[in-house]
Amino acid sequence: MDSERRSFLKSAAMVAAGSMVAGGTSLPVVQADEGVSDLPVLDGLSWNKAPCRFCGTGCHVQVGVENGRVVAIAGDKAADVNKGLLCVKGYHVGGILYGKDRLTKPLLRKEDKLVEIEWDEAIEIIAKRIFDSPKTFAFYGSGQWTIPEGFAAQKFMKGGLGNNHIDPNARLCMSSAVTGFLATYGVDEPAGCYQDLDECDVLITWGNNPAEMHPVLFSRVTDRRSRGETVRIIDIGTRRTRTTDAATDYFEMKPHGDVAISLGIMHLLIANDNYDKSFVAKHCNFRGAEADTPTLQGEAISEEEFRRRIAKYTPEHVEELSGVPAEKIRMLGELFGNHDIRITSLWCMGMNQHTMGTAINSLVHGVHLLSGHFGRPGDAPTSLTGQPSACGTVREVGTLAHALPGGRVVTKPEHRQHCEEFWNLRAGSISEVPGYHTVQMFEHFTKPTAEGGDITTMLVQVTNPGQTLPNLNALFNSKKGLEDKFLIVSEVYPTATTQLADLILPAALWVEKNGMFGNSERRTQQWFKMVDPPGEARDDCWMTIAIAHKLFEMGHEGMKDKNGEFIFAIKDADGKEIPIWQFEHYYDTNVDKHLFEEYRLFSTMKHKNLAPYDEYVKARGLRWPVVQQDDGSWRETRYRFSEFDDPFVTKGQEFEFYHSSSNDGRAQIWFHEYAPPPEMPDKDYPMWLCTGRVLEHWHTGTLTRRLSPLNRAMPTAYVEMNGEDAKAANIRQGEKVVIESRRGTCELPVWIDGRGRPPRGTVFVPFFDETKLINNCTLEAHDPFSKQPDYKKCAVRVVKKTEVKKTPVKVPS
Amino acid sequence: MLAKPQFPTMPLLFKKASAVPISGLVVTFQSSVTEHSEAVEALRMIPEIDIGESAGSKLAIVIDSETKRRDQEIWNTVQQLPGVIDLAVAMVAFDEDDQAN
Repeated sequence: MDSERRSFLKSAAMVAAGSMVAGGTSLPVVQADEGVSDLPVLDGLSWNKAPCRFCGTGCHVQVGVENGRVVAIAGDKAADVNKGLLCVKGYHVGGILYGKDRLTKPLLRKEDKLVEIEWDEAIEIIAKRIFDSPKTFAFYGSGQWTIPEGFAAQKFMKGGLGNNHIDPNARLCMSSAVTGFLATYGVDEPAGCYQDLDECDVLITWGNNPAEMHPVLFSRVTDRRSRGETVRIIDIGTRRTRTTDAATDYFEMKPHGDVAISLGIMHLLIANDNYDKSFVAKHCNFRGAEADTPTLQGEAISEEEFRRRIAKYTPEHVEELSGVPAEKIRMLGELFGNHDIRITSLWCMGMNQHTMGTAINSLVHGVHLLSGHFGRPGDAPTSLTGQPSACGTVREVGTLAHALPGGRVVTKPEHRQHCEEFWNLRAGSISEVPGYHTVQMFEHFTKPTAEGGDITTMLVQVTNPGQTLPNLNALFNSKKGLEDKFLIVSEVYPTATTQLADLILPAALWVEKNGMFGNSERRTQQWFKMVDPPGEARDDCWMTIAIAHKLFEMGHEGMKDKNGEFIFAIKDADGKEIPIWQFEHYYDTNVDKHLFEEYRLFSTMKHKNLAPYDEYVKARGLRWPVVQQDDGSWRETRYRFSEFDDPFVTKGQEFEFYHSSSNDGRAQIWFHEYAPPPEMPDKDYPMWLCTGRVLEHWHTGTLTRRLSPLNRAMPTAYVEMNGEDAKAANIRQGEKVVIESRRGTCELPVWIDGRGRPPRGTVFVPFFDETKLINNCTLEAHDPFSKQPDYKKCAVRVVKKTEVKKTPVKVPS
Repeated sequence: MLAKPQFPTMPLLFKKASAVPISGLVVTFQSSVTEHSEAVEALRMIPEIDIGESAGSKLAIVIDSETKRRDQEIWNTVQQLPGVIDLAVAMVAFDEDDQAN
């Protein structure tokens, strides 16, 4: 870096730090029109807003651009989510664009070598494969797709090809949250918002480690403590984490213990007669699973039947099932029975990556409904998401194999009809048969065609299934007999997935393109392209449109609307079509705006109303439903279903669940029986394996492993081990061991009683490291409703590398 | 898709390291910055640190070091100075030499 430039950047850094000092607090509260004015003003440096590219929190950053390059990142003080703060990943987010190994040319595998080809050839190859066999094509997407990218993919597949084999990686991270919300409220996504963290008296983290995974949100709570407020944090988990370090209480549970604990709390609320009778009588029904074929709808049960079923979940029985002492269960029951305090529950992967994921999500909602800790700021059951647009692109746009935009599903004729009308398609264009969910999709792609593997071509965008799928040896890794299969991967860097790709497409990333995300609190966010992508990298949305247009040129009827026009046609003011399928013309118009305005039409059926695109340009995101006021302004909604804030609640109702699955405005309090995990430690595989993330790296590390400060801080995956287990097995700190399951192996160094501290009989491994694929060992067993696999519990053994296949580590019974 | 050779550069992706970004930081003391003159003086003695404005218990600084090891040493030193309770990032500046791969 030359000295003049370095001096320039030092000046900018000093101005930014000085502005935070002048702000006076660690969480400065500013108005929406403030916050930008005190960023460094230097010749050649421009600032623009964008949501962070990493997790589902949805922090806003200010991106400093100089000479066509991102040179600085500052927290956005005008953003309500993060109020100027960022986590360690967020401060380095600009660097993700500039890894030295960015993919910059399409690469086609020819005779086992990847050779550069032109974009035209790449698009033609893809279109031809789809044209020749449209029903055996699958599109695997992502909660990192922008909203317009996901909407375009959705329209292309379900509207254009009449093919529902489209599913996102979010199936692996939050689909149980979706089914939990649907089963309880009849409509997806949280009722509350992040304000709950500012107002709760008690925060319960259920198998959740927000101190590392959502650090800015967690800092909202710890910051309150530093200002003298009392916030009780109760951490319920299977291992101690950094969240435990900040917790008032830590309850260590056995895997699936959360199901028993939630049942135990509801048992006590009934037994102690301190549940919220008024709230339940006015606003809730009781529900249980059907005996023969359980569905998300379930069947109505009486309160008496609910009482009868839950009677056996006494604190002592719950202690047996969960490992949490009965006295602690009683304490939780008393807390929820106290109507003078406000309680927020927080969860993420621990409850979602769970073979009882739908059940545990529904049960924790039920604890809050039964106790009346619902619908007031600070009283909320809140699920978090791990990806920046798992909510916006997956749950709202509906890029799941069974879904359509705006909360619709392919199985309902009226929903298909809505979509065909909005898209101006011929009636019957959309198939009524749900496509393959993620695990099925990869099973059918990696099974030889002759054996029924009926997915032959797959396009993967913005995700890395070669590292994240469970049981990689079954679902992804190299196999024989797949010579006719064709894997296309759009990526920004080489990954475990591109290793097996037949065709690699170089993609634009984050502020190299326009975009919109939807975060965990229903907040839709927008940003503009700020810099050009490197080489020939291009927008994922453009790729989808270019493939669609090539199919249109080839005469594929599905790529034409009822009038015979291209389904993605955009016309200029004179009515002339803009050739957005040619990349040099893609930015002749704002394609994102066109797609979003089309998508917005879908959003009102489930009262997820969105504002016009231009409103999001002005704001640091808006939480839906966003409703226009009499004065023409647009108002967001912080609390759904609560009369004080939700414009769709009937006046005088106080609360109204207007998409109730029982069609009576009520939410459902579910009963589910406890069931053990599908695989338990035994003589041969005596330990539990839990997998997850770390503060420094985001998911598979594709982006954060390119950032030297982060990679230096966390250079390798490891296996966390209890000190007593290590001692008993004569394993030393740092020694390499092999984790073995019935499905595969992974070699890792041991970290004894490190950042996380598992109990005896449990090991933990993060999945960010592409050189140490722990998903070779994990289990693809999944929740029956959400189809989300359980990455948090399976049986393994730890073998010293010198004794592989000889001496598994023994643990006490 | 079939058994394919490994992507040729995969094992080498993450080896090269490079320069440290310039950081604008906010040091928070237990009490007013004026009551921690020794710690502030210690900061002034570190050549890679520029000291900016202060208000209340907060002090703006910028770190610009030549090596990662030195950067880490400075962070550790600042965090361990008497009276320092927090070190927060306000801005990170990047350059083309800053990437890890």
